[in-house]
Amino acid sequence: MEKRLYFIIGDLLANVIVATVTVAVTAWLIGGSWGMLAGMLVGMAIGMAIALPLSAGLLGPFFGAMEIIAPCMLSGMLGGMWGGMWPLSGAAILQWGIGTGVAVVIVIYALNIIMTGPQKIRD
Amino acid sequence: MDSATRKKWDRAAGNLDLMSGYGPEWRWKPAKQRVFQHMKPDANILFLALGTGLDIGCFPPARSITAIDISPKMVEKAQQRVAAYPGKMTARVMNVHEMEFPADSFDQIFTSCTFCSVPRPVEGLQALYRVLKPGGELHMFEHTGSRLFPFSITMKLMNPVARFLGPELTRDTPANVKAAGFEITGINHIFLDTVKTIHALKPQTS
Repeated sequence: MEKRLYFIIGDLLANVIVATVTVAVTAWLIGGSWGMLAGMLVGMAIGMAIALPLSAGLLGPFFGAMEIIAPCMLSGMLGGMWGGMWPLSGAAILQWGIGTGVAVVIVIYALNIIMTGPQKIRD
Repeated sequence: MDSATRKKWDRAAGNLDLMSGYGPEWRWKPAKQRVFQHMKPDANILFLALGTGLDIGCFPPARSITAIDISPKMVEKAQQRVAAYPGKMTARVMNVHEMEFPADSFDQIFTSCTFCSVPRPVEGLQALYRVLKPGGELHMFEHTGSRLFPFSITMKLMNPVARFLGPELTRDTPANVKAAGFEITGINHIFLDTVKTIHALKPQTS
């Protein structure tokens, strides 16, 4: 698990930024007006399309490569989903963005505890 | 000569240090240092792909290393770091698919984020197998695809864009290593199941 404070803060910052931006953009573009299912699917696609350049091009050079890109894709996908499904604005966008970003980082750190380290060699 | 791959990495050479030289390298440095600690003092070592030489800072001193890269611009940018390495190191422009080295030339081969980019990975690994001595070691630091949902899906969706700009995100490098004839001796996950080190041997009787 990552224990260096710079990267812990970087992970939180990157995921919160990506989630908040994607919630804001999809809430502005769709905001629940297309129905739940269409809004969710289109929002997820838009979220991922925003997350890739933001994470790989802007945040990755400061905080890491796959460690930023993979979680931020999830944050972007979820952020896009919320903004596509519901009419959110102002403080609600910020709350969903921060909540999603922090939750994704917690899940990733938990998964990392389980998944990292030596693996069994399969035949 | 694979001119499309060469051009892609020549294009990337200009901003590789900017994109990878700070956050990604700092983050990966401890894991890379652990891999490169396997470099033996008396071994003839092949390293690929050199890039702009960012990995050289993680190499132990006083080793004998031949480094290759397909991109002339990368090798040109790496020259200063190659010259500063406290050991014997040469850098050459060479495609892994067309290596000029005789069979059984090297005791150890090291790769760093290489087989996400080699266009035909199993053939590339077979080329490494050819130049590695029987009983020789292959040590890799690589990012691969993920088997974990939803990353398995998001990485597949991202892959066409990533492939255009540089590396692929969905490679199954351990399977490719095995398919090339190597015997895998260790796999260590560094981040989820996407960033990992792979350790393998060329069997004595191959």
